[in-house]
Amino acid sequence: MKKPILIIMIVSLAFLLSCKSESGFFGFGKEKMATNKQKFSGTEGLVFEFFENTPPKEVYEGSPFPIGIRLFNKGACDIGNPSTNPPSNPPDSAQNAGTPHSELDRCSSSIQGFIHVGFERDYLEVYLGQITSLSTFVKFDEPKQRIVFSLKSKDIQDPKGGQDLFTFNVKAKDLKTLDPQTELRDTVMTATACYKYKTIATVDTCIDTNVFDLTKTEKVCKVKDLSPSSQGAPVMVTKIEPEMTPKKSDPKTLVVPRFVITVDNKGKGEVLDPNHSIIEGACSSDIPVSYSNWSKVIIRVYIPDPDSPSKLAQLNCAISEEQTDENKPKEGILSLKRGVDKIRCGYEKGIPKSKGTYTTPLIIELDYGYTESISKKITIKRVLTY
Amino acid sequence: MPIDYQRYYSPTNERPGVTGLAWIPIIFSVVVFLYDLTSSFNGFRFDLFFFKDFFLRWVLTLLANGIFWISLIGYMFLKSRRVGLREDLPAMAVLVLVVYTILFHGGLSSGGAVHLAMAFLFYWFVLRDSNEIGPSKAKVIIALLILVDFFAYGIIKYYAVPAYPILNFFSVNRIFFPLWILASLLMAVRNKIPGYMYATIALLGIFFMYMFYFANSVIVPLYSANLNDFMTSEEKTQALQSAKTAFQNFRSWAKQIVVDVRKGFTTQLEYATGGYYQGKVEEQQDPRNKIGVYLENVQSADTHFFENEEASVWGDLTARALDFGDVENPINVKIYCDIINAQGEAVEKGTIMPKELETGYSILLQEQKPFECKFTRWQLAPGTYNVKIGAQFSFETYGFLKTYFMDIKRARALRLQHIDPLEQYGITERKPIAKYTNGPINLGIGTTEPPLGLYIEQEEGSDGTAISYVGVTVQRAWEGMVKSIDGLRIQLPKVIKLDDEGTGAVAGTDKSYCRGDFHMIGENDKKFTDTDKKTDLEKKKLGKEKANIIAAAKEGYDTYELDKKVMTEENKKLAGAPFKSWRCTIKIPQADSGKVLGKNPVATHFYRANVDYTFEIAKQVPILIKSVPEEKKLLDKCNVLCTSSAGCICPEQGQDTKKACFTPKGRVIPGGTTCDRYKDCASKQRTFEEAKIDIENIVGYLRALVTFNENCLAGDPQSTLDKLEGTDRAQAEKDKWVEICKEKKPAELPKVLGTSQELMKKMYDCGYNIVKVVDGKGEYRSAKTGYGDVKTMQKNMIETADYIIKSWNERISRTENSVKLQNDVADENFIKGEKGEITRLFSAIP
Repeated sequence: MKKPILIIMIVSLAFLLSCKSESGFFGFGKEKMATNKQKFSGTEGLVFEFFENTPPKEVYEGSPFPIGIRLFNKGACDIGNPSTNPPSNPPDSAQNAGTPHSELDRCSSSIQGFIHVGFERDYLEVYLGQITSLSTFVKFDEPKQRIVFSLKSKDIQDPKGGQDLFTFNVKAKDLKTLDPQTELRDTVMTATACYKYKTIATVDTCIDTNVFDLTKTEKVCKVKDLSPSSQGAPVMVTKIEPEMTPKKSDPKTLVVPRFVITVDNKGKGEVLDPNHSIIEGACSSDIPVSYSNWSKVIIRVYIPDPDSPSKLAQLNCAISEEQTDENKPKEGILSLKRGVDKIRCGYEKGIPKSKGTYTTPLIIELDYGYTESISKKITIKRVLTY
Repeated sequence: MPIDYQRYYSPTNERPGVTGLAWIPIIFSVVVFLYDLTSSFNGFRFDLFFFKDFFLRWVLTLLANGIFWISLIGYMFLKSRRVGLREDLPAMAVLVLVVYTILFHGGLSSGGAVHLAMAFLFYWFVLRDSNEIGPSKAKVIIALLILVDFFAYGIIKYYAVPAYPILNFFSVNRIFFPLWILASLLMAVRNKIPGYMYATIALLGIFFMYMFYFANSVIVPLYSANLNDFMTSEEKTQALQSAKTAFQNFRSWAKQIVVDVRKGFTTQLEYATGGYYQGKVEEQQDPRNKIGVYLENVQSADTHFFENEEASVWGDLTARALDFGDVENPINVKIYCDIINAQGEAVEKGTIMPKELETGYSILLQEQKPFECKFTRWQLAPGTYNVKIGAQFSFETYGFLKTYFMDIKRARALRLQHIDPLEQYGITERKPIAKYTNGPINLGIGTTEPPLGLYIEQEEGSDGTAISYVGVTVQRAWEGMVKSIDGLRIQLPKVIKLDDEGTGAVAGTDKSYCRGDFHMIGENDKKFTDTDKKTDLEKKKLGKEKANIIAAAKEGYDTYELDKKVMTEENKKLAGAPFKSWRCTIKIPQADSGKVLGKNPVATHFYRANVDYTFEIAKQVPILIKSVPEEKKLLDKCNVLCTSSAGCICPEQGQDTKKACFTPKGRVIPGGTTCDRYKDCASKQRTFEEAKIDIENIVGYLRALVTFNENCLAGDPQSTLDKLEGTDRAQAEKDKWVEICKEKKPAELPKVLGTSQELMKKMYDCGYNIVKVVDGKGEYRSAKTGYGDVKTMQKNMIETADYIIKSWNERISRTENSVKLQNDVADENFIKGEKGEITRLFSAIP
């Protein structure tokens, strides 16, 4: 080997070694979640799967076998109310708003998640109907034939997110009783999860009261479109387009900041109305789920109150006309079409021009139900005697 | 090193390539083929060609005969102007040597000349003009083709075939493997001459014929013989018969394709219009485990059979079903074998061994049973036959169709949101297809596209009833025939009911479904209780059916059965129908929707069906029967028709009667007669009364022949031609006796008179034999009329003998038109001898 190449290789290796930190090379293998930013990253909420070989791909008729479903909450918000992380009251309105950076406290739900396990009863039957789980947060709701669960989100202590596993046994029926000549049959086991979830996106946005650049002052920031990164939930805010418009009633002194927010379902499942009964109904035939209940996301947007920065001011996302009544609900409803929708939210009270140009956090909260299904094919084989 | 032809040829001498003139050798090759067919020419017999000292003789004649050298020198002279002599000389030498050998060593016959002419045309219009081959190579190729044409068939036949019988196919003869036709067509296609597409089609046709020869296993028996100079006409006929059979099978195959395409189109149309329900065969753990009954390894026991030996076809019956272990319900198989004609009709029956397979064999477990289909000696006349082996058995096929149900509002909502309702709930098999167990019948099941929307809540403008259907199609899957459908049942989950409204239900009777074709059946149905008049087998079958219904009920299924009357009607239509479908309406009222769905957002249910039926599978195999010219068939009954052209031998006494046949034992009767019908002159079965009539007839006929001779000599035979009867009359007309006699042709007249005289001798001999039997039996002694009849008989025969001899002598001694025959003296002595014997007979009569 030629000498210069060897030298280059040794230097490169030395450089790589010098990059080693406590958390590994270039930070790979880092286990601990250092910041909230990492908590609110990713496009997954609940991730669930059939545990390896439960059910097996092939079983023999008449034999019992286990079904195991493993649950992970890889998102930023809790599902239900796991006791280790008791949920605080959700900020349903501006009155309940906390500090701008208290997302961790707000990101929980009082509604538990549901899982409906479906199987073809011609082929399978529940065997010794016991459901066992790793924790007490997974229970079988026998009257409604569903599994109810709560699962903690990922956090600083648990960067992988909460996880659980529940198992139960089923038995393959005898094929001969179905059909004397059949040798094998395929059956499908499905599991549908329905849960309430929340997306919280916090971005720094620029408020510019000098709309027409009439005063030649240097601005600290510039109004521009924002594309937030993932937010630790399957439904995310993908784009924010700010608009600064003079207030109609007082264009000389007040400016209304408005934001066109694009919401996109990046997960594998479907979005539901966050209403408890609707979420429950999606996993059962008991409660009808109508057209209007699907793909529905409730959006709440906050900025720090310009008058009292310690409090949050909710933007009006139900813009039909300028809202002066502070008591009217300001939350908006997005109806996703092919997973995407846009909404315009504005601080209709207006910001005095005297405030100039400044950067402020914009907190967007999406509230929705989410449902997703998985399935696995099982081949039931007949015990042949020839 | 390749020759650079450009070096020798000027541009004007360059060959134009193979042109449309190449059709000349193609057409001539067909003429040669027809010539071979009629003349049976097949080249040299190799064993005779290379007799002792062949090579020495070959060299000596070569030296003695200057033609080879003259040709070669002449060729060299002509070619030396244009082509480099050195390159072309060896090829030319090879060609001249080959042609020389054929011409001067036994090949200069008409057949040889035709084949050499063919070779010349092929060379001249094809090889010579082919730019890609070149002149030297062309000569070598034509020399090789001539060698193959004259020697190859013989070489393979006499040297290779005994060691490798499979080469029979290649030894063939030129009828099967027409060398020149194939070579001409191939070259035409290869050089893309004008209209070469026709040549391609012809080649493909020949290729298909070959395939069918193979498929029918005709080739081996057909080509074990060679259609050459030593071949019998019978073998040639057999070859042509086999070719005919192969062609007929090819035609049937082509017809079948058309039928299948048409059927497929009809089926597709029915499917499109909703009358055909699909399905696919269920997978098995091991695809080699074939469920069903099969006829395997069916083949002729020999390449050919002689008519005086048993012809047999072998095969294996293989059967397997998963519930074969069910001792109470074995599968019953019956096998038969027939000779069938082109229309598929049975013309001759064979016998199946072992016998129990013919009468009905019960298979309890997986089994392979070898069988043999036999045709007795002389049962089949020489020729090629198609033997059909058929097996009838009862079988069942089970099918199921998975379908999904959902709240209609939920499904609509999801669809409006562009979400697939089934995908949303993890259903991967979104358009399930019915599956059925392997067997001779396809059992398709169909329904509306899932999920079927159910009304959980009342909806405006709707009564809340979800309407769907379940359709069942029964279609033949295997080659064979559905003899009868013995039962068809549809099973639905108890929460899903068939609609009985307006389906022909008669008041006061059970409800009926599917336009009255089906009825619900339970374990307490009449058919299971009224079993007094049933046979044990039927009872067992009913028991199994009942057990199935009970098991289905336990699993939550209702069973609906096709009505027996409808089934009988449908069975009549089965033979002609490509398939049969039934469709039943399902109605799920709002009140039942919850039950159907249960707690599931998407509920899965199964529609099931099973059909039990009698099926017949069949396989065909051709057999070749050869005649045995040396041996005449020994008939076993007096009234059996002799079908052999060589004649048959009569038995001592018939199997059906102790009485001897009319024709005595051991005597030969001609084809087309029976031993009872053919009146042998020496038959002892002839009664005295019959003998009297026969003698009268013989005497009359003899006198007629004498008159015919006299008239012929007088130049007027027409007036007496009417005296001749039967075959004699036909012979006379065929040989134009009238014209001959009229024109008095000296060369042909003795032939006519000689034939006539031979007939007289034969006829008189017959009369003599009859008289002899009459004397031997002595029946006349008890005749009521006394001895008068016998004496008359004797007198007639003696006088006729004198009359005949007198006539012959007159013919010889005529002054004008005297005709002498070679056998005159011998014939006269023969007649006199028998006349003397007749005179001696009845000497004891008073």
